[in-house]
Amino acid sequence: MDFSIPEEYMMLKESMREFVKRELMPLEKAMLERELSLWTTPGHLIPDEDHKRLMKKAKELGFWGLEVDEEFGGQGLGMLAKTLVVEELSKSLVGFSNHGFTLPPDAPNLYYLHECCGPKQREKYFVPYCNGDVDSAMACTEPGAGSDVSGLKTKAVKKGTKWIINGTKTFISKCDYDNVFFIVIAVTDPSASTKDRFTAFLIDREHPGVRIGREIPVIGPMPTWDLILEDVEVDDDAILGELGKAFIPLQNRFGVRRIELASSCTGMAERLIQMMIDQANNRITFDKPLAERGTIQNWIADSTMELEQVRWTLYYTAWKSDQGHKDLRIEGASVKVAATEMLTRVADRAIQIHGGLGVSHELGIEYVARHVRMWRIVEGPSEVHRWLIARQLLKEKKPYNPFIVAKDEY
Amino acid sequence: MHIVVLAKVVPDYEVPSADFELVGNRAHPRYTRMIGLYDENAVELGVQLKEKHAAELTIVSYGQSEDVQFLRKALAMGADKLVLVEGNADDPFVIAANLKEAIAKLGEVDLILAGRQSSDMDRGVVPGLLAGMLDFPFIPQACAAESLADGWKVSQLTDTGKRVMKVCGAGLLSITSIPENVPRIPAVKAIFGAKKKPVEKLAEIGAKKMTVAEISVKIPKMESVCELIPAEDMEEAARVLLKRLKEERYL
Repeated sequence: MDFSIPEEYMMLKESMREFVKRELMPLEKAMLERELSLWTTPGHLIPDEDHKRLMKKAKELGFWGLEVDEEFGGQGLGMLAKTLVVEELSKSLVGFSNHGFTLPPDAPNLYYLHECCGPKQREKYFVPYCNGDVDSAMACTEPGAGSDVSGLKTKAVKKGTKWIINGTKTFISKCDYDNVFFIVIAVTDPSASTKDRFTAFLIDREHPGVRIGREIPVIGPMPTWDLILEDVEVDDDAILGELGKAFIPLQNRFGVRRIELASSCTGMAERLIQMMIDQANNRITFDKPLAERGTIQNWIADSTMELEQVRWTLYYTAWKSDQGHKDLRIEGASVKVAATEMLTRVADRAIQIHGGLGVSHELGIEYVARHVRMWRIVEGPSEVHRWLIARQLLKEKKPYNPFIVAKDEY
Repeated sequence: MHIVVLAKVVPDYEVPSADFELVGNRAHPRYTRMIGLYDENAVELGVQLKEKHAAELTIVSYGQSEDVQFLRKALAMGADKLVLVEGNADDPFVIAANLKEAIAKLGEVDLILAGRQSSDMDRGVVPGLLAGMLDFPFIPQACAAESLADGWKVSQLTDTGKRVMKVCGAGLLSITSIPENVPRIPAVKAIFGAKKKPVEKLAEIGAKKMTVAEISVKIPKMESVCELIPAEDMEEAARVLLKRLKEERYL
């Protein structure tokens, strides 16, 4: 086993660290202020002109599509490289927030599209998506169906050559983006088992019958809307992948997404631990620096142990993905739960160590705490992930097997 | 055209000096290592000149074998190759003599750039010594250079302004930082390309040391004492503060 990191990966991290220092850190204060104003004035978390500039610079530096294959205009470096870079990116509040600045194109949807797009769809959606010209949003959740998709009510009914789609989606992101299309999940065969009941459709926001409903304010920056579909008419061309098989390729999308989300958590946890260390060394109470107090020491030690445990599972998962393993359900679920719960605890300790400043909006720790609270729900709540892990192990009647034997070089 | 940039790998210069832990008068080996601050400005200027004149750009360093991983950043920024003389002397005479030897092996060189001072020793002596050994004109505190038909037009930053000079033929400049030579961030492709660029390691040559011996190295601890100024309003606070500063002879 070799835990050393390739020199190039270290340089990648360095480059991202420098990008964060020069481009993202200066935007932090403004972003925190804007976040407050977004409660009353709709808009984006960082100003559009800044976002454009960041996109351009990130593209020049080659940070677009790090894990995306070269044939799609990416760098083809894989998930481990991406993980290391996202960790660095997420040491800034702007890069940590997935509504601040993220590295395009959004790979999980990209791979989903790549696997399922037909030739026409490839030209219309996939190519512009790779170039960052259009954006995509998943439209699955409904008022009566979240993790349990069996409650989905949106229906697509075939009439002649057309599919007529009706239903209401909720918590749908990116509805305010300039060029966005939705991956709408709808029931196509109500009598089939859940495996064959749902189909994914590609639908433009501007398509007749598509209406954006009210925005749903939540605890933190997660702009989402209701999405109403009224007699939306589409051809067979709009079907993504196979009829009745919406969720099979989706599983792979989730694996990559969870790795990415976990790297945001480990990166930010590292920053918060740095803040805790600085505060402990500098803050003097009752004639002693906080650093000399056992409770404070325990918080820093516990946070570090918890971070590093998650980090190595995360690297392992990313590495496994790079080795070509597609079924990352247990690993993806594990790192998603472990990372979000770890950051929840670290953020809470970081707040506590900073006292009143810790809960102040200007320091940004409370922003992290609110954000990670959402992350224990989005992309599947922790309980569903635990259930998934346990169900798999109970079914196989064996503990999890992490061992992958090194390939012989013949 | 062949341009050489001298670069030195130093311990993390972002660590506040008061926090620095010394072992045998030098930084503890646990510190992260990186190319010196001003050296990166010199590399940046070198890369800009390379791009403008399609020149060949070589990085020359004196240091430990493990320094290559950090020096490779200069290759990722755009340099073509790296020459490292392996040695661990701190003596500027020895370093300069070794750099001279390495540069002599490169054939004709049109311009040598160096950082104005290293980020660890902060002496700024080696470039001048090397220029003397090479019989090159030496301009310290330079910040920009332009190629002329028979030499270089060089800008030098002084305390009060900027001086522009003409160097006939080859020269050695030690570079200070200006916004135009802020080191570029290596792009992803360039990082992976850097690993394919040639790295040459040379054995150290024996050289005469300076007749100077180091007796001790000390980094003073910074102490801060906080005194609260009791005052009702800002104006009064300012007055009291001014009085206190005068009393303590800070003003």
